[in-house]
Amino acid sequence: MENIENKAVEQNNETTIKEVQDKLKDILNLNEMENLIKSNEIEFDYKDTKYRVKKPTFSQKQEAYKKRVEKFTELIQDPKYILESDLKITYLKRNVDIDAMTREMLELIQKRDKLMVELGGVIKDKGTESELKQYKEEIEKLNNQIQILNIKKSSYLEFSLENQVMIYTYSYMTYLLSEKLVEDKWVKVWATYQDFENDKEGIVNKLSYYTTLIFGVEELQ
Amino acid sequence: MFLDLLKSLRTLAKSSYYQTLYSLSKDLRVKLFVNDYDFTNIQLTFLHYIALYSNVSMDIALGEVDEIVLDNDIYTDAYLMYKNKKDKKTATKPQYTPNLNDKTLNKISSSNWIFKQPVGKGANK
Repeated sequence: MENIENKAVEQNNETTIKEVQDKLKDILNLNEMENLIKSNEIEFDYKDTKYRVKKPTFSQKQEAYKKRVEKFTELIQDPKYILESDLKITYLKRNVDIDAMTREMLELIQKRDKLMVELGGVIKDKGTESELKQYKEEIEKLNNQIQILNIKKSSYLEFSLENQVMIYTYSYMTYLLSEKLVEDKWVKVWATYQDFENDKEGIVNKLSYYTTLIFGVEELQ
Repeated sequence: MFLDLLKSLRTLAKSSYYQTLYSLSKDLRVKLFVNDYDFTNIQLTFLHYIALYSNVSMDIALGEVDEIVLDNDIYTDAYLMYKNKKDKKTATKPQYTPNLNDKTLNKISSSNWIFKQPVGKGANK
């Protein structure tokens, strides 16, 4: 009997600890988020050095666009790389229909959006809580299915030429926008793009991540 | 990772602190960010959500909808989708159909140049 009670207390404590941890995680996430939005540059410390990523200037965007065009022109002439449309045909020969996946995804999105509008009406008309919950669960289920299909599709198309060009553009932007503080002066983290590519430090991932938050590749069009 | 970020971004945008700051930024020019222009991707997304929650809060204050709409992201998005769809329907509904045989209409035609298209049609663009 005592054992059962002890186990229940233990489990209770574990649940409380988990709740506190989740709350702490939420607070930390919110603090990080506030740090990310407060300005158009993100500053952070890594191994006793201060780094920053700044919103690109017009000339930096132009430079990145030029590099993007150059990369596309280079890869399209290289038979080792394959365009997304050709990749889809190759997959189809192996019975993987990417277009069908897209169609299925769009159907699910339509179905989800229809339910969302219906739910909106129920909320407006003060529907019961169980009614709202039912809609919510159905929508969440559809959202999961959409997400799974999206991940599947993205992983199939990961090696397309277009995707390689996009990865290159973000990498080039990371190289271009990253700076570190050396003797009270902000300097470029890497002198050349080659140095960036050869860098084995974990800082590359961190700076790349912040670059994607600061800048959208669509801005280059 | 990005979904977590989006969740945090929405939580911040919904918070009374940022909602107050947002409404003050319109009237008293209180600054939301260090920069006044040249916004980053994430700042633009935040501004989108802060305006979205301000819109919902206004509807709650006007008694258009219950506070339950802020319980979770799905309820909020669902309500706004419903509202947008309803607004679009109202906008596309012909507000006024002139009877072209009515000769008295010609008397007020001098101001027609202001509205080159019927109101409903223009709002739809």
